[in-house]
Amino acid sequence: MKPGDSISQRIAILRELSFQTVPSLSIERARIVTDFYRKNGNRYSIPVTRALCFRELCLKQTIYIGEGELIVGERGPRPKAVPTYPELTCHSVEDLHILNSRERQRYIVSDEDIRVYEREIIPFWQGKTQRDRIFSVLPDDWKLLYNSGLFTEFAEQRAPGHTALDGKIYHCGMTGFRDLIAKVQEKNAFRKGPLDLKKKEMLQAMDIACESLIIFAGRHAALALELAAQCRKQGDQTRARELECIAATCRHVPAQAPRNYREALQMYWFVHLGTIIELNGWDAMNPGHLDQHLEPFYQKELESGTLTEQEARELMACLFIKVNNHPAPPKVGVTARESGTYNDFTNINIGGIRSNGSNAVNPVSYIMLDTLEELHLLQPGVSVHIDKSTPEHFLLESCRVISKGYGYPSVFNPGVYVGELIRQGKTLVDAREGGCSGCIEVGAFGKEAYLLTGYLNIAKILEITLNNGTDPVSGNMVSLKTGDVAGFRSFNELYGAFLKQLEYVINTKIRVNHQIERLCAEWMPAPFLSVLIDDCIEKGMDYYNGGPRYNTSYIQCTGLGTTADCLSALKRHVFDDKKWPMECLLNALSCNFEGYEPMRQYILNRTPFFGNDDDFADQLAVRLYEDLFSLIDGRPNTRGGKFHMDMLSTTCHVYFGAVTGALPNGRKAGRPLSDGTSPSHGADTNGPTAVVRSLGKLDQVKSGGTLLNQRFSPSMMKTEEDRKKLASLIRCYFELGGHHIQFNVVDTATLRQAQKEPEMYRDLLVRVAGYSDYFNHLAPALQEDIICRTVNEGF
Amino acid sequence: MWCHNPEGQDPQPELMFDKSRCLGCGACEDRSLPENCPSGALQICGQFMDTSQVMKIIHRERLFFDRSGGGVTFTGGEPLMQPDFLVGLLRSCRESDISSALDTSLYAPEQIVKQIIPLTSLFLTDIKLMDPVKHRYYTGVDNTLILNNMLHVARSGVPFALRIPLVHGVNDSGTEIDSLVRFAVQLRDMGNLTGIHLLPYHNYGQGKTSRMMGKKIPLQRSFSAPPGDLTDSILLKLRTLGFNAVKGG
Repeated sequence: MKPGDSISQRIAILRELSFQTVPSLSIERARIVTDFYRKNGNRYSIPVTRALCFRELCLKQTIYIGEGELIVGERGPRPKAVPTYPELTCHSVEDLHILNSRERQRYIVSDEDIRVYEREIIPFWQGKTQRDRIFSVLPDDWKLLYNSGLFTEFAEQRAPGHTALDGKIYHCGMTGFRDLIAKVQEKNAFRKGPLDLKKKEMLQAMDIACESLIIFAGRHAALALELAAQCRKQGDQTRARELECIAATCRHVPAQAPRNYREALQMYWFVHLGTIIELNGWDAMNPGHLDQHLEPFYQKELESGTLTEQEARELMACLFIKVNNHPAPPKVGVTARESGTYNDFTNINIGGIRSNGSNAVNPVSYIMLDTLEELHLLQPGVSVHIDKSTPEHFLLESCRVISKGYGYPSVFNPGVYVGELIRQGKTLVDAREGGCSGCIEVGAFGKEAYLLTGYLNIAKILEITLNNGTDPVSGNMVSLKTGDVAGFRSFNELYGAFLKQLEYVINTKIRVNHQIERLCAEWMPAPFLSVLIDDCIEKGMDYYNGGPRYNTSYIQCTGLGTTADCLSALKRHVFDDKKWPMECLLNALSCNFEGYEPMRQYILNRTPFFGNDDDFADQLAVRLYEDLFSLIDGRPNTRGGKFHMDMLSTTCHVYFGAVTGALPNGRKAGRPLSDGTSPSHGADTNGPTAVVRSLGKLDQVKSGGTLLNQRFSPSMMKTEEDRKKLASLIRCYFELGGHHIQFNVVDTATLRQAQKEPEMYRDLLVRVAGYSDYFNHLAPALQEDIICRTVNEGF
Repeated sequence: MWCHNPEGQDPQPELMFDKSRCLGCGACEDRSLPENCPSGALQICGQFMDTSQVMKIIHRERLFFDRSGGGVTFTGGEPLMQPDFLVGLLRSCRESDISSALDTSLYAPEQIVKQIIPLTSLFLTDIKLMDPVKHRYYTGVDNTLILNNMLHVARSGVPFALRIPLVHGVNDSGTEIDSLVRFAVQLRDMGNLTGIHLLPYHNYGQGKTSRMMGKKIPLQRSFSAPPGDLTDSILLKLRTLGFNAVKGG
């Protein structure tokens, strides 16, 4: 915690607890769910079973109210105690031991809990989990590609995500939703023709889910009153009053719509908890445009004098800490590798535009920005949305927080993403109420299931093209035979073969995805989540089964920069300049460039790379981007919606890199691929303005989001003048059609790494004295000097 | 006397060699074919371009200039070593409404400076030493021309910033600083002085200097920066006099 901050003692303590607590694994949920299924597994329809299971959890879970808390509720029995979801994926004893002992992303698991798991949980779920069902339908051609790391699959161990909410829960409580459900039920019962039983069951499940959350909140109210009585006895009148206030709040929300700012925050938090107790969908849950939702409550209370700005800040900090108390559920296998983080990607949108298109920045936006800065926690992720109408002051304040170097907030452009949503078929208002969740994915908040289906390893597809369908890493024939590239006469012939491979891999993924989608819809409905997303209630259909107004499936393409650079190197050196015959390059790749260092250096230094505003490379990236679009966009899914292309990698570029051999852009085997739509590491050497011009050449409206990472040293961001430059870089990129940009500050460790691996960091700019230079260009002694300075700057 | 960030010394394209990047592969045939060098250890620094080629590159950044209020800075070396080329570029920038700054020592014929003043949006100009004898000793040339040109710039009303490199024992004595300050006051009274940048000596350029091949590196003296408190007291003095003075920049 930084000195001199305005945060209260209470927040300082809660933050410290949240920050210091090591995530642990709680088997409580697994036990409740297993007991429930043992008794009731086959008694009801699947949706009702799921709803009753949720009810059981709301009834039996340990209720936690921590000292000093104002916003209450945990998914597990205590902060950072993460439950498991054995009905989806049942961790093995070995998994649990690994989770307990690994160095990174550790989850503490007690030996006793592992024994219980082994005795009670694992035997019951053997062969019955969602993972088992999915694996039983996976065909061999899919498995070959999956095992070689050509794509990943999101539904193989978690429920598909992700979701963000609109403003409806601030106007309608669970009781209101139950009334609506009853009306639809009645309409269904009295319509002409036979009763739609599926719909009836689904609606009944939703009703049970609403009631369950009210029960869950009621248990919090009861505990709060109990604790209040204890405090009174001990003479702590202040805390007793706070606890009584908590009890009153929990009795009102989520049953009824919130009446004030505090109730609005607690309302959201209960709803958030409901969704992540029910299932463990990817990217948890997002409140969407929280500053817009809270603004009316805040303004009204400020005027009536029932809330001070300071209280509003404190309550906001309480919510942020709650989000941070909830690390992602522990993953296993490939998924743990592709997403190696505690982050569960609750991404709060601030700023941007309202549904009428006007500027949405309001006092709550600033409170949230300040809270982000003061707390400096891993979660929630906060993004600022910078439209043409966004005041410069808000952008500059955002840049000030960015310059602190926490990696947050990320910056989004409503001017582009509203266009993306409209292009996908959303109405203007639904599009404007939409935004970005998870990493950078767009969706119509509160009205869409936009499910990520998995990452696609584009660079690896080029690698198997160069090997005529064989994965050189495993030696297995995994794909089509598209010809021996050594015999190809032209670049276009090579590119044509690459497109065939691309199409085959995408087709295989989509074909199997249809089956997985059906399994999710049939076996793992989410009645509680369905209540929250229009028009699931009206249609009487589940969130995973086409209930929402919009139903998107995204394929996340990874390695655009790396692949464009590979194509550029092949075109320039092999086909245009005939510097080396293809065989020679293939030999070099198969030896991981051992003995071919001059060739590798020549490629690294003499190839036009994506990200330098050089059309030779940039147009190849554009061509690839357009072809991915044609192959993915508009393909139907099984939920009445379509597939769209997303350009993000999260941390999957590291996993994909690890399973990909040496590539023609000079990248050695095993090294990470480029992330998102960023240039390859170290490929952009013409400065940030050239990077954003290159990225601006991609017609980003065709995607469901792109991602651009830029790194800078703290020395570049010191003065007001520097921050103004950053602000104008953002404005310019957005005028060029950019969707998203984020800035990472480089720490000492990164600078050390840059000394060891200069080629990966050719883009790293540092401020030297009155000028800036590429870190690589500096003499070793000066590099040391810069590193020392960075240390002195406190990073 | 000191170049803080040398990219080259020669007005002609120059062969640079960075030993740490050399693979020893022999592709350059004893440095006679630098274009074959795979690693970039051997590089030709500098290239011939005409006005339209340079303007094409400048125009790419147009959007950023418009949004940030920034523009082009012509620097060097010494941009006034190519006066006709510079005039062409400045004129093209003016025609395109692109703001242009000139980072120059002002060591150039008076006529050229007069020609360039109306085409320039901002001057960043060095002032090293007031004492003419010392100036000649350390830089090899007289400062009369420079100081005179500076007066022209000041009189024109075009905004300009003074950049004062501070080298210990060379120009940080009380008398030298006093006369620098007196001259700065005079310039401010005449024209549009936007600020003073104090640049304490550093040797960050050595890494680059070592890459210049076969050049007689001029005067490798061992210089040092003035003690920190001396720089700060000069800074304070300038600020007390109402100058917008900063360290670095």
